[in-house]
Amino acid sequence: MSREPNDDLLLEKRYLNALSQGDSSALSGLYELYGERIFRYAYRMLGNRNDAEDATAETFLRVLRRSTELRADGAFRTWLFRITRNLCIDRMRQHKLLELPSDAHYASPEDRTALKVTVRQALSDLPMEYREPLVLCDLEDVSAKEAAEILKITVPALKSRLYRGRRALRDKLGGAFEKK
Amino acid sequence: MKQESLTQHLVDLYAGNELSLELMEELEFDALQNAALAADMQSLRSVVHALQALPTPEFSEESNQRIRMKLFAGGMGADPSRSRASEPAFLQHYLPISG
Repeated sequence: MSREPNDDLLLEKRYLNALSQGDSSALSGLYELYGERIFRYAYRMLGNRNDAEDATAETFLRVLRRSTELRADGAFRTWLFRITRNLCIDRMRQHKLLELPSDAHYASPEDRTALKVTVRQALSDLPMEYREPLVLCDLEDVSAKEAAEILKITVPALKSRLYRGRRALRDKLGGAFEKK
Repeated sequence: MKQESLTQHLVDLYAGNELSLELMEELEFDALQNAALAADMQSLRSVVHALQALPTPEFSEESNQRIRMKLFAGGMGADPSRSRASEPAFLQHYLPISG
């Protein structure tokens, strides 16, 4: 059964309060709420499962380490994405993965069409400043406002990067989307 | 030049479905007489659709378990609501007492 967003916020508040009072088991609830989304985001950023698992685990462990400072003020999810983003950037720097293509393990057989592989490749070839808004807004369906907060930029700057990113992606894809 | 950048911005908004219906119809009407504009609109919108059609990374049970193990190793306490309840007595198996 799917949960309503308001239910998630109530649960988030309850878990954050419990965590700030020293109940480390509440982290499991927060992981239950956001773990999958954080993993997906990390996977799209890093392009491989192992690194995405590490980044996801480390994100939640950082929450645990700062549990006494947590406040249930509605900005927790944004903060969570921001931690993941920083971890992903660190990891990419460590592995010098910035320009490497993602691995192909997350494509199911029917998804291995030439176009999708090409689009994914073109996306991973984009500079980070363009790739990040595209991953957040077009792939993870994060609102422009929240994406701007995650990336610590203004909403107009986010939108400008998003639009330029789409155009850059189209340029990389060459004639694949030319009007017939 | 100013007009050109305004049109480009409208196309950007069109591609992301951020235009009002009225403006969208107006832009589409303009595109009927302007092949370059039509190509820009269609190709950019196709890019957005292609992006949104990319497969979602699978969050497998194995990944979930590996992450949980790391969290437990890092100090996450066991959640009592998720711990397995002990099996009822009638499901427990006893080894026969050998004599």
